[in-house]
Amino acid sequence: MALRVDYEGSNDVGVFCTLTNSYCLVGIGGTQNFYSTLEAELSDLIPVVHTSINSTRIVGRLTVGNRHGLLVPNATTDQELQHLRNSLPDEVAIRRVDERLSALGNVIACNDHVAIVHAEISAETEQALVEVLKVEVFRVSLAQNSLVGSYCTLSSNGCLVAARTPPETQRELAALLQIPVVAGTVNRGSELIGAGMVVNDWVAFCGLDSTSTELSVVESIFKLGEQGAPTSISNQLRDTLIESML
Amino acid sequence: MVLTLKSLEFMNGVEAFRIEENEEEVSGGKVTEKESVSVETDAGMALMLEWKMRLSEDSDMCTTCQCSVDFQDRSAILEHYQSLFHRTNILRKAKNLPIFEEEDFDGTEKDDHDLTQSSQTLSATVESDDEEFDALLLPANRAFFVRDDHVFSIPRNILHVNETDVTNSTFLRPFNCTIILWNGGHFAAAVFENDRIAAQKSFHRYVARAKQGGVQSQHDSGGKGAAKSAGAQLRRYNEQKMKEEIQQMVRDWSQHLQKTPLVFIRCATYHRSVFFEANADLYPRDARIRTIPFETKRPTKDEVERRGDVSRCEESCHSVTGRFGTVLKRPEVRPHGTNSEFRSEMEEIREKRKELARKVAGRKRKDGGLSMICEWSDHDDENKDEQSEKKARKTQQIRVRAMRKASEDVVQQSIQWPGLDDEWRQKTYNLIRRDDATSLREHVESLNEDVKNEAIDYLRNAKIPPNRSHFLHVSAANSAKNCLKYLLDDVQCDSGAKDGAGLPPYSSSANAEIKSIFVDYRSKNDPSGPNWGRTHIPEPKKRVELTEEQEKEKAEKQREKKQRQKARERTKKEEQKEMELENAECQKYREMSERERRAQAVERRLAGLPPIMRCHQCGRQLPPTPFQYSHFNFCTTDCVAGHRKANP
Repeated sequence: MALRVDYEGSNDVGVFCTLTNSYCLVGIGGTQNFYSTLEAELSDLIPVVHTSINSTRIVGRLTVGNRHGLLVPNATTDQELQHLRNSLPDEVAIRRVDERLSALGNVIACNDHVAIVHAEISAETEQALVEVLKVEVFRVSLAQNSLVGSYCTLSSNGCLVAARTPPETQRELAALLQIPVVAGTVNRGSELIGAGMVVNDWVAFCGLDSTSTELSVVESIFKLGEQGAPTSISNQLRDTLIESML
Repeated sequence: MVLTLKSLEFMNGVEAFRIEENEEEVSGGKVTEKESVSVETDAGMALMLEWKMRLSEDSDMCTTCQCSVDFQDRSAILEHYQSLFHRTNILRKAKNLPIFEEEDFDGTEKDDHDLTQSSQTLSATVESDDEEFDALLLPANRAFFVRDDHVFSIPRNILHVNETDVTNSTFLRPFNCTIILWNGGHFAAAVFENDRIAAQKSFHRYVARAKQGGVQSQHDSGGKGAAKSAGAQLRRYNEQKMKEEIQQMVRDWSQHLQKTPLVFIRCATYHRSVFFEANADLYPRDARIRTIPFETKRPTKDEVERRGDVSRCEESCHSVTGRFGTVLKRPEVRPHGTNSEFRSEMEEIREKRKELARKVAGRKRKDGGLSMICEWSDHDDENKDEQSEKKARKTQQIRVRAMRKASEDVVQQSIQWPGLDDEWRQKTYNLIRRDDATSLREHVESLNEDVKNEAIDYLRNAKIPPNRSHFLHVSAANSAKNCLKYLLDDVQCDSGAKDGAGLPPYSSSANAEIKSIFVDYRSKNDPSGPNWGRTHIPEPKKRVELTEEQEKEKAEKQREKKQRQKARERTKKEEQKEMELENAECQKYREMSERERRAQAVERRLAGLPPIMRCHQCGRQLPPTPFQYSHFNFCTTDCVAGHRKANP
């Protein structure tokens, strides 16, 4: 299921939110609308944590995480770290990394198994990714875009990259990630996929401006909303049909 | 049918064209030849397959390192992407540096080289020596090859650096090259790799002078110096920018330029250095750099692509390049008919050329003189070329006639005036040249009566050899006034006599003085006569005769004029005097103290005279509305400023 939301009038929900299969971080803002929407969708499955990183609300761009862990930049304060530790499940490991490219969300894109990272990420960060997030790390660039975290989003089911990514790069990514890759846009033509949406294995949140075509692309590549898809009907009816035949 | 490099005909069986058909080899080594052909075809097929494979492998490659990775094998992927090689390359790519090439890739390159070399040696063994090649006078800019007993040719400069002849591999490999077109403000460039455009750029800047032609720098460096107009500044700036932009582009492409086997550059020679100054692995003596072997139009991307022959993957090109999709279908391969036809044709051309060469040599010899002409005609006899023989004889006759004429003159003179010896003639000539009229007169008078008439006739009609000019011409050209007068008045030479160039003596006059002598001569002898036209002497100016009344009037006018002049001079003198007086007064006023000035004013008032207001600064009389501040009056603002400066 893909939903349209906005964060205090901004379409770039990926900037203010980090969504994984085991937790969700939301930047502390002036209003509760965004938080409420996410909480309504997620709170019975995973914790939705209100937090700030280095006193800013752009948690989506500064942090990177998956169901195994969370990396935060070195500028995160102790209180913030403590708060995160208290709010997140115990099995989620948290580590503060001393990385020159401190907007980790912009330079790293990952799911529960693989991470693609910017070319200039330090070896320590790469080590942290392997240890904390338990992922294989690939240094690639998406053609001319080297900020992989900004220009792509991935879940365990698929990967959405910026529209102008050349096909050979898409093929390369698909081989690296072992998931289907598609090029597209969100928020009515924005190429900043990572900044414009968040996704986990069962739900995606896009900016309010996203067109229905964009939403349907998101739903199909991330395999969300199985119920509504035409193939799912036959899948679901299959059991019934077979049952009736027996 | 239009043939291109990608035509299927040339997939196999291509051989370099040989001058001498070696009968023995054809008859004796038929079997071996067949074998060699089949070997070559196999090699060709393998080559083509390899390229095909490479194209398909393009999909399975690391986009950073441009090398193939087996995406089916997870461990291979991990190995590559974790390798130092990949890490280095991606870092370099992030920093916009050229990436390194993998050793594997080099290895395949080497194999490829070996293949082409082996096929080269194959063709080299059966190739005949170069001398005979020259004997057929084949155009040096085209490479000839044979297929199926038909001769074809391609431009020689599309062969790679180490290739000497066309082989199958020439047609099987993709046409990788870089093409750069630059003309005036138009620039277009593209890199073709594997029949695709790997990089391209085209732009236009305003540098050419509209309707004048030429770029601005060209005009600036010309005779008139740098133009200062706004347009010129604009163009100059644009030219500079364009140069920088191109150098930047070449630098950005250095990675491509290192790999590309051919670089076609079409630009003005003075622009060439721009590419070499960009520090991008292009050097002036690079053997890869070629010119484009045919005429090009305005440099646009379409034109670049017209050049690059990419017909094989035409469709993919269409999708990749969008609007630049027009693909070169340029017939680069030119058919020349069957082997025998071509040979006979070349034979014919060679004969024609030889003849032409002979003719040119003959013409040079002709200029040498009569003896040479004889030689030439001998040659012609050998050639049995009747027409040219006739022509040669004719020229010979003309020449002889001209030479005879020159010598005839001298002989004729001695026949015409037998009484005058050579010594007398020589002296006459010298006297005229020296302008010694009295001596000349004596020289003529000293002769006795009969011979004297003969001498006068000689002076009138003799033609002096170099230019066949008369004595009048000689005296006029040497500005011999006295002799000229003597010749005209006493000897009565014909002033209309023409020299060798058909000009009368007046036209060879050295200066205006000589001309005036001729004019005087005309005015003395019936100036309005009918025959003066051929002498070129102009009509003398008419002098108007005045009546008594008119003369009186004229005198009156002159007197009045004189009086007016005198009056003017008088007033001028008076004015000057006044000025001096005034200046003295000014000086006096300036030197006076304030009290004295006031005292003078009072004196004038008591005397009943009108007061004289003077400028406080310079002492001149004030205009009706003076400049004033406090109680000071001034004649001009300069005086005000001066006064203010002096009394701040």
